[in-house]
Amino acid sequence: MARRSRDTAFREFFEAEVGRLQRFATFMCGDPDLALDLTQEALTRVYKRWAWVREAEAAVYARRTIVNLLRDRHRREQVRRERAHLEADGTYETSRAAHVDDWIVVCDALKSLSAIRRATIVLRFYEDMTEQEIADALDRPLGTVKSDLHRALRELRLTVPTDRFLEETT
Amino acid sequence: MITESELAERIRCAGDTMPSPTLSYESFVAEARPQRRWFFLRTTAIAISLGVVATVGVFQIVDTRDSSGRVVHPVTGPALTVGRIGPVFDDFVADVRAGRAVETWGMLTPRAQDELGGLEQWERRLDGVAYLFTWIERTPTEIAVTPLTADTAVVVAAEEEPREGRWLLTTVPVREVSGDVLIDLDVRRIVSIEPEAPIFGAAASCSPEADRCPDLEDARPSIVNGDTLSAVVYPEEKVKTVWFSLGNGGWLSEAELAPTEQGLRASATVEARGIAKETVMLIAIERHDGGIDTYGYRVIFEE
Repeated sequence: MARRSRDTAFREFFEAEVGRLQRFATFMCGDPDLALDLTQEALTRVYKRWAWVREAEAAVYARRTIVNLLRDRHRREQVRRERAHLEADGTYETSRAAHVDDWIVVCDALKSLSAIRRATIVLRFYEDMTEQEIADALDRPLGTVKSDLHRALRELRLTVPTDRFLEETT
Repeated sequence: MITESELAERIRCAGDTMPSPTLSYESFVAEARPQRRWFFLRTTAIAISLGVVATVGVFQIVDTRDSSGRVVHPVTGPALTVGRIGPVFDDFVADVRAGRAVETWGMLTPRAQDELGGLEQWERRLDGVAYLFTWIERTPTEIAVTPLTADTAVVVAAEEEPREGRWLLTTVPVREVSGDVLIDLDVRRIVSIEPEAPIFGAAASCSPEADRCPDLEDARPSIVNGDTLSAVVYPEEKVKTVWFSLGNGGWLSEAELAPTEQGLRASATVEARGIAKETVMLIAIERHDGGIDTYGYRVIFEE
């Protein structure tokens, strides 16, 4: 593949996917700055493999890379949950700009899940992927994806407050 | 308790409202540029030789004759080296200990192998240095964490589709963080080796102009510009492209493919510049399913 056409094709892919990848990475780690780094690394790896990655699969590969990078990170570090918005009595501290804090609440809740289950939830509810598409994206059996989804939902339903709860504690 | 539909809505809203500093393409390129240059220096295309007989998992190379019709015999002993060889092993260790990302194969000294005891291992020796192929019974996305000491590195094997007795190798980036070595598995670039099969070797080529056919029993045959490298790969229906390379991508050429009775013959003429004398010759066979099988040989390149 000529270098020029390769760069052009990759750039088109980049422009189409970078925003979605960054949001996916932010969901996965809860930190926009870290998400930026993860997205950079994932896209760099996609570029390195551009000659062999089919364009239709590049976005899947990038997401899988982000998941794996985070799993690497968790293996290296002492993971402490950052529950800055959760007080000891279990209530949530919210600001008046409830929507601005909402992503923090959701990301905080997602952190209680493993990286794979977090990715499963985000791909299902934010990127509207089917269970089979999630299985392909994460390279996991369909049955495992269904199980992960069921268990992740069960946990999140307990940890993510309803909007009515937030309103009552504002 | 929040309902599933409410949860889905909360996640969608969160995604739409989360702060997301835009990563521009220009910023991305500026950050990635050093890695891109490095990547092109060691692309995965790889080159090979005539007369190799080996059972290699997906592909079986069956040609046993060189271009002049002479029967070729495989060289016994391991000819597989990828990435760094010789004295640069010290550089590899220094890079890892300094925390720099290193993408290479590793080599293990005999003493180092003892430190990694407990792993299933398959050992081959070349010039007194042991190449340790380690079986990892994990999925491709799992990571093996192995302590890295001053004289150790790790060559890892990961099975993408576990099958008893099947060993695979993959090139791995190695990073040392907090005393642990983390290895990212790139399972799209794999080398398949049957542990009981003869190890392929014997790089050889014949140049019609020079009437030259190196001694194929030499573990490090020599290659010169103008030589034709070729290999027959089978089964041909799985083959998408074949690449030859010298010097870890310093010379890179897509092979011409032609059907033969034995399989698909891939060939390319060497036209290389600036390649180290003691170098690595590699071949990459890209499958239609997207996977790539690679094979490496130590050779002497005489420009």
